[in-house]
Amino acid sequence: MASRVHGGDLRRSLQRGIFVSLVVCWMAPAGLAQVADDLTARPLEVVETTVGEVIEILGTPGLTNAERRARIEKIAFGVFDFTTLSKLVLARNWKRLDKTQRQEFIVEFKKYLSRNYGSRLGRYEKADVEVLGARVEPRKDVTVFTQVAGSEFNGIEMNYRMRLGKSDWKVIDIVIEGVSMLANFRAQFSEVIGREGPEGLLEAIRKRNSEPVNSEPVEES
Amino acid sequence: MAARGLRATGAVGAWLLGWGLLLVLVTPSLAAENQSSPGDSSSAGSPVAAVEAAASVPSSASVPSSASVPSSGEKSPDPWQKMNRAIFNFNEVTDVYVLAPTARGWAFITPHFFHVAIRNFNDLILMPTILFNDVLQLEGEHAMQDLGRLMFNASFGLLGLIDVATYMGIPQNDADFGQTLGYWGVPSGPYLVLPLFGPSTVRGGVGRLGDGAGTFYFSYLPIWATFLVRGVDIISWRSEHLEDVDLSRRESLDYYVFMRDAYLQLRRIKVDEARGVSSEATGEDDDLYFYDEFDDDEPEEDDLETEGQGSESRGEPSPASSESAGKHGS
Repeated sequence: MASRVHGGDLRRSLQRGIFVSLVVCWMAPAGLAQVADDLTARPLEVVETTVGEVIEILGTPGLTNAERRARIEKIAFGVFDFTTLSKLVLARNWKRLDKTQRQEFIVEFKKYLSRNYGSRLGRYEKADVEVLGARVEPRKDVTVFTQVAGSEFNGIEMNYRMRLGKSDWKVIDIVIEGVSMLANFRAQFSEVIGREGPEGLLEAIRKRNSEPVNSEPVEES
Repeated sequence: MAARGLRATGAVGAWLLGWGLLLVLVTPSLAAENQSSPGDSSSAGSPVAAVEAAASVPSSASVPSSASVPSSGEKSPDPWQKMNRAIFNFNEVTDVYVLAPTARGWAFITPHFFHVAIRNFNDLILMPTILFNDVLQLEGEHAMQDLGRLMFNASFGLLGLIDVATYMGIPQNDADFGQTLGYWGVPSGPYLVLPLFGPSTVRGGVGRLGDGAGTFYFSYLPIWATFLVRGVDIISWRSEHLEDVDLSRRESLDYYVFMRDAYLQLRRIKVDEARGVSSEATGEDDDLYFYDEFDDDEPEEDDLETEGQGSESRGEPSPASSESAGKHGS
């Protein structure tokens, strides 16, 4: 009975309800997408800039391998968050280092990582890198997806895990074809610390850093 | 890489297959930490297995407590490290003194397109194995693609020398029997380095034998032909990766662990892909990227002081607990 008496009201409120919910449904994803865009805009920009710089170096004619490496190393210095990386890579072992060891580790690891980055990317001659997109990860990290185009490395996926540091978005991991560098370093470092303690690890990294960059291939591992 | 089937013939193959399966079954505590099963990714859940694993590694057992447990979760994927390292070293010597020099010579005398042709030819030879595993993994679409690949490359591609399928836009899939076993829920088992074949797991080793059945037609050829075809492929493949391997050897702090971790990560992804689960669904990333206890780093001076006197056991639970607390908080 009541529905018959208030039929018009009911219909109107239903209509309004549907309208409101439609608007909400329509707005919400757009709003969420907007939030996601805002979050990923800067990390994307950082990766695009960095990749652009690296490609430019790779494309510069007349550079020796060593020069090319050195320049890419310099870029790496700017884009990684070395303090966070050092903590993450040592994980629980971080606590086994005393204050001076930690400081030294950050410095040496910075050098080590930049060298690795430089020597890896230094080989990507004639390659181009496409920045494909980004995804927001738990706790506002952002992964930026890139893919190598051209050269013998064509199609290799290289994803950058980014985190907002004190000043800007910084790289905290590079995942190449699904293999996380951070995880790989962590496994190695954990092994060395387990065998030789924190000082042993520092010594090992120091040794690597002191080796000439352009040495002949080492036959024995 | 495509699966390189070990040529397993008849009874010997069956015997090894059975033996391998038995190995998987008798190591339940290790198998329990199979990383690809989503339920187990909480890592902190298996301290017993971790302790067992740590205790069974003689080389690191002399090192006090937590240090010998890999920090990426508390599971050791490598309880047989001593044996594995020995085999790994043997493989390294073989590579350095036989395979790598051969590959270097090979790279010197053959042009790049020749390597590509060999690669393509071997892809064709191994295609039935992939096809077989597509079917076993119920990947209908992949199976159709790979069937198309097989037909086009075998005919228009001049017996596989030219990869026309790729030009036609047919994607290259990769499937092997180890992955198939993982797809059906068989745990990976401990890491295992195979003589000459390199990194694997118990499941991967069994998978190799299974894939051997996919290249049954090799058994109709004389043995030298098999060795020639596979050997040339391996040398050619190695010659394309001279620099990669040199770099990795030179730059890694522990090349053995570098290889192990890279292999295990890659395999996990392959199996996850086949099962259609991604790492973010399992929350694996949280172990890797978040360590909340660092936030209160500074006021812990006295914590560090006592560290030397074997306080690890006290410090141990904090990462896991604070981490999981943070996980739910976010």
